[in-house]
Amino acid sequence: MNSSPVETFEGAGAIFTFAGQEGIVQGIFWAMCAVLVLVVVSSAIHEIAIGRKAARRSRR
Amino acid sequence: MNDDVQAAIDAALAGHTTINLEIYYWWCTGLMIAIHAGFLAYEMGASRSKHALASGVKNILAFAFMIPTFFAFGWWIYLSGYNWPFGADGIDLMAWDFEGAAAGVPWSENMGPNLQDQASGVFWAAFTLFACTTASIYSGAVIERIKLSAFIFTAVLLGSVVWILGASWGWHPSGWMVLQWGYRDVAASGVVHTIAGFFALGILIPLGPRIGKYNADGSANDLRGHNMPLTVTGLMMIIIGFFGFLGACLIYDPGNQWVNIYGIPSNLSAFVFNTLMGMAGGIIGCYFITRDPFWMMSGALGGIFAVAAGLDLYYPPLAFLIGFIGGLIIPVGAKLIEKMGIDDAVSAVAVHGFCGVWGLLAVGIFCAGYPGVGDIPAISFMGQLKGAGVMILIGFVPALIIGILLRVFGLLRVRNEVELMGLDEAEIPSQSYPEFARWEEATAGDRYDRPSRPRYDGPRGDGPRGDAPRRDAPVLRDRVERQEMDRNDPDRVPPVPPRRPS
Repeated sequence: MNSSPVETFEGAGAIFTFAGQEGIVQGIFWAMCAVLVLVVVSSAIHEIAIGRKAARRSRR
Repeated sequence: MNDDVQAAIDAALAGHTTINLEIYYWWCTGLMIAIHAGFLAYEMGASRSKHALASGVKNILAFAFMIPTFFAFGWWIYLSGYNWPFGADGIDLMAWDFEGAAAGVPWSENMGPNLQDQASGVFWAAFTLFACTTASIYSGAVIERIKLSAFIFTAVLLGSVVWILGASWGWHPSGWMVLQWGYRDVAASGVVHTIAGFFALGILIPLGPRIGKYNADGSANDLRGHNMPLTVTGLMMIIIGFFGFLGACLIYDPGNQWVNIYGIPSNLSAFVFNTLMGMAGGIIGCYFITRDPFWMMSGALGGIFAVAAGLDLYYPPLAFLIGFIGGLIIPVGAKLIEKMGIDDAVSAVAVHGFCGVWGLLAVGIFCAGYPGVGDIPAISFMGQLKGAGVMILIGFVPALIIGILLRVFGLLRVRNEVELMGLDEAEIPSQSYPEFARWEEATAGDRYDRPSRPRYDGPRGDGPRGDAPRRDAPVLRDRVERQEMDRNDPDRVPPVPPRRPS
């Protein structure tokens, strides 16, 4: 896969990978957002599980 | 020939100008990292030892989440929201400047390596670190009982939405507060500190106090952090970092006069005069009332925040007096918040919220009549007063609403059992003071016999972990042996084992 948006740096503007290929760039962007959401949601689930376990233990 | 030489000189000068601009903001951004190192040390020291690492994780993650989310939408909000929600015909919820903010769309060619754009990256980075600062300001207030996921969500709301919208209104040369009221807040007393301080207040109300903070009769206990030297050192590091923060509040243009964020002429000399004088005033103000190093270092910060809004205009001894008053406000304000039943663990509301408001009003009192440039009107007390009101509301209201919603769904606060046990024990695989825990195990056997003490097997539920107490410590041997005998008693609640870093 050739991710380069330029053939030469001479006079080039945006040089980041896939620049100019908006579909791919947006896909990567939304993947980043998905990772952020996934981590927060997994953290919330983990905390709920920990809280329940701690409550169970303290009742024994 | 002369034309060729002149052209070569101009080209070289232009190149240096661009490079100097980038270097300036690069190092301002780097210096601002010290703010976060300071907040990390400060909050961990201000936590009790059983929560110390959880406070650190919270602080580190706030930093980490702020960067991608500010990339995703924070920077775009700043560039586009300066007139929102006011359109040409009144309220218009679509009154974003889509065209002007095209360079801030996360998939635009400016938001990444671009050889033709030397400004977007460094300005985005500086603003990102401002955003991280707002989140760190808020994080200290809620330590020891907020859920990590709730904290991340609310920190992103503050750092990548709320404060930056306020900044677009009042910290942007085209912001509606600037153009209509002449609102002036050069180094962010309002847009960073007031907003973050009152956002913290809005979350603290539904969050509630830490267990043990208040007695049945309503009197408050002082839940001191476990490491005052670490706390005070952290505060000093925050001050170092704020020199990067304040430097980045100036627009660097090597070919011309420096200007502040509103495009009004200014310079670093003005900033440094008043930063140091305000800081000194804040320290002495807190010392005058409390004689306590924690409050004195908080006063240093409060003094800087109190003078920040007019940092480029004050006569330095006046900045000292404004900082001094800020230093007086902090302990009094913190006591007031405590008496209201609100447990602000690090007094963020007083240091940032109250001193921020005082800083905005001080500009209205002492700098009224200073002219603006272009369409920006002169400074007025009413403009500053209204501006302070907006900053309070934009911080407080969204936080209160979101905090109540999270609380209703049980997502805001950890369970009491987890809080009593300590967030580190429940959530963190490593230990803050493992050798201390071993000593505690070996010397506190009696306390483990209390039936109410919760037992916990570690965050993964994989059973008791950790080293057995050292058998070769003669002084402790009898206690160790007694504990081992106790362990064989089937009716006894087992002790919490010392834990080993995984």
